Amino acid sequence: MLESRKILAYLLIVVAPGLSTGSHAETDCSTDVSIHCGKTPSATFASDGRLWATFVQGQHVYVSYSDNQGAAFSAPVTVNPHPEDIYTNGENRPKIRLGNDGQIYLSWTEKTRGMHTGNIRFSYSHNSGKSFEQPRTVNNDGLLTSHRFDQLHVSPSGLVYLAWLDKRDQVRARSSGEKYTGSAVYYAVSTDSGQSFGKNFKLADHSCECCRLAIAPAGADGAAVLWRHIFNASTRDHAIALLSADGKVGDFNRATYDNWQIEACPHHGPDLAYSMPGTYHMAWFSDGDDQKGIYYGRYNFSDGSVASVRAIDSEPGASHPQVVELAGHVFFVWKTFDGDRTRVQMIESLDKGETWSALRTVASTDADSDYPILVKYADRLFLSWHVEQSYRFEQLWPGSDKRTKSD
Amino acid sequence: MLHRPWVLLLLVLLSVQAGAELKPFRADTIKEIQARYQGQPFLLALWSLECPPCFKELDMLARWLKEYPGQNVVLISTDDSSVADQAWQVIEKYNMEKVDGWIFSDDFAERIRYNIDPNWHGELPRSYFYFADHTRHAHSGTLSEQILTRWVGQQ
Repeated sequence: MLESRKILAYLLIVVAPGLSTGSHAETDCSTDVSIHCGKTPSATFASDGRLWATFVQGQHVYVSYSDNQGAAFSAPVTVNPHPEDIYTNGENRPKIRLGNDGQIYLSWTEKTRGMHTGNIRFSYSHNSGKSFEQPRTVNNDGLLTSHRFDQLHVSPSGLVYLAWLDKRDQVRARSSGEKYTGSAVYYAVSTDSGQSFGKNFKLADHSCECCRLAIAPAGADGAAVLWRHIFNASTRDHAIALLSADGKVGDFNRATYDNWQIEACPHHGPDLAYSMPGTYHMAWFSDGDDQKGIYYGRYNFSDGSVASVRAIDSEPGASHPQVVELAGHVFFVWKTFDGDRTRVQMIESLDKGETWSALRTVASTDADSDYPILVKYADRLFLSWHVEQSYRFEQLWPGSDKRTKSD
Repeated sequence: MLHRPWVLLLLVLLSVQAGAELKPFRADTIKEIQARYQGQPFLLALWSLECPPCFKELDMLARWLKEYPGQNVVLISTDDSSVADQAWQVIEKYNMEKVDGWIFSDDFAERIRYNIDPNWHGELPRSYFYFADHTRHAHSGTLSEQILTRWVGQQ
C-alpha cells in the first residue's frame, strides 16, 4: 500500500511537474490541504481554460487551479490569513468568480458567535491568484445576527454583486416589540473590481432564512436573483427580482406556486439560469400542497409569467436541482438517493424547456456526497461533485461520441 | 444568581461533560429506538442548530413536557457529532437533559434520513407521532401544544 503510494507520488512528480496536488489517490487528508480533503468545493473556468476552484479546510478558504480540467490541481493558496469559522454545508459554501481582466473574487459566510449568526466575507486577487487581499466583511450593520447564504456574481461589464440573507430588520423589529417573519434579502455592488463595495441595499423583506439564493446575469450591468420567500406569513414558495448597481429595485415577483405552507427550514434553495433577455430557467424543490418534488419552470420578466412548469422527479430522495443553458441545450441535473446509492441524474431539452429527454445517470456513489454543481466552459458542460474525500470533475456534455466529432 | 462564582463553576463543570449526553444516532438507530418503545406511543422530534424554527419548537416542547411529564419524547439533532457540545448546550438551555437525546453520528447523513423516512426531504423541524402499535404520523414544521395534546388524546 505504502509502496504503491510512493509509486503514484513518483509518477505524479514525473508526469505532472509543477503540480503539487494531483489526483486524490496519494492524498493524505490528515496532513494535506487539498480540494479532495476540503469541504464544499466548487469551480469555474477562466476564458483561457484554466479551472479555478475554491474549498474550505479547517478555518481557511483556499484557492487552487487546474490546467487539465480537474485531473490535477495546483498547490492551494490561502485566502484568509487569519483563521475563522466558515459555514460549509450544501446551502453555504465559498463562491469563486472571475473578472474580465484576470481578477479572482471570493465570498463566503463566516460563522460568528452564538447560533445562526454570520458575516458576509469577501476577498479578491489581482495577481492571478498568487495572493489574496485581506478579507473584509461586506454587511455594514455591525450587528451580531444572521448575515448568511452569500451569493456572488460578476456582470459582463465587470460589476461585482454580492447578495445574501440578512436578519438586521428582524433584530430591529424585535427590539421594538414587533414580529418579523424570516430574513431579508440584501445586496451590495462593487464598481472598482472588488476594492470597495457601495451601500448595503435591501431587496426584499421576509425571505426564508435557511435556503441558498440563486443568481444569474441580467444584461451588461445587472443580475437576477431567485430565492425562497415567505408569502402570507407561512407559504415558502419562490420570489424573483432584478438587481441594479444603483440599488433601485422594483417590486419582486412570485416565481413559483407550490403553496408550501410550512414554518420550517427546507434547507433547499433554488437554481436560476439565463436563457435569453428577460427569460430564465428555474429549478427548485417543493413539498407544497399543490406541487411536491423537483421542478422546472421558465420565468419571463416582461410579463411576470411562468411557463412550462414541470415535475421532474417526485420520488423520495430527489433533491438539489441545477439548471444551465448551453449551445441551445438546457441541461437539468439533480440528486437521487434510493437508500443505498446516490445518483446524479440528467435530462436535456432542445426547445428551451418545453420537452425533455429521457433521464440519464451521469454519476453515482455509495458514499456521502455534496450537491452536484454544473460548470460551463465554451460549449462544454462539466459536473463538479465532492464525494467523501474525492473531488470529481467530469465532462458531461458533449458525451464521448460527440466529443470525438467536435474535438 | 445568588452565588455567581458557584453558578460559573457549575457551568464549567457542565461544559466539561457536554456532549456526552447526546447518544450517537447512526443509520440503524431508528430500529433500536422503535424496539425500545415497543408497544408504547412516543414522539420522535428532529431538530438542528442550523434551524431557527427548531428553537421555537424546543422551547414549546420543554414547556409542554412539564405539563405532560409521562410522555415519551425522543429528540434527535441532525447536526453531526463534531458539534455535539453545542447541541448539548441547547438541550441544557431548554432544561431537556432528561429527554432521550441523540445526535446524527454518521458521515452519510442522507442514509440516516432515508432510514427514518424515505419521504422526508430534510426539512426541519420534522416530527413523527408514533401510536402504541407504531403506526405513525409525520409532521413538517414547528409543532404546537395543541397538536401535541391532541395526539395524547388519540393514544
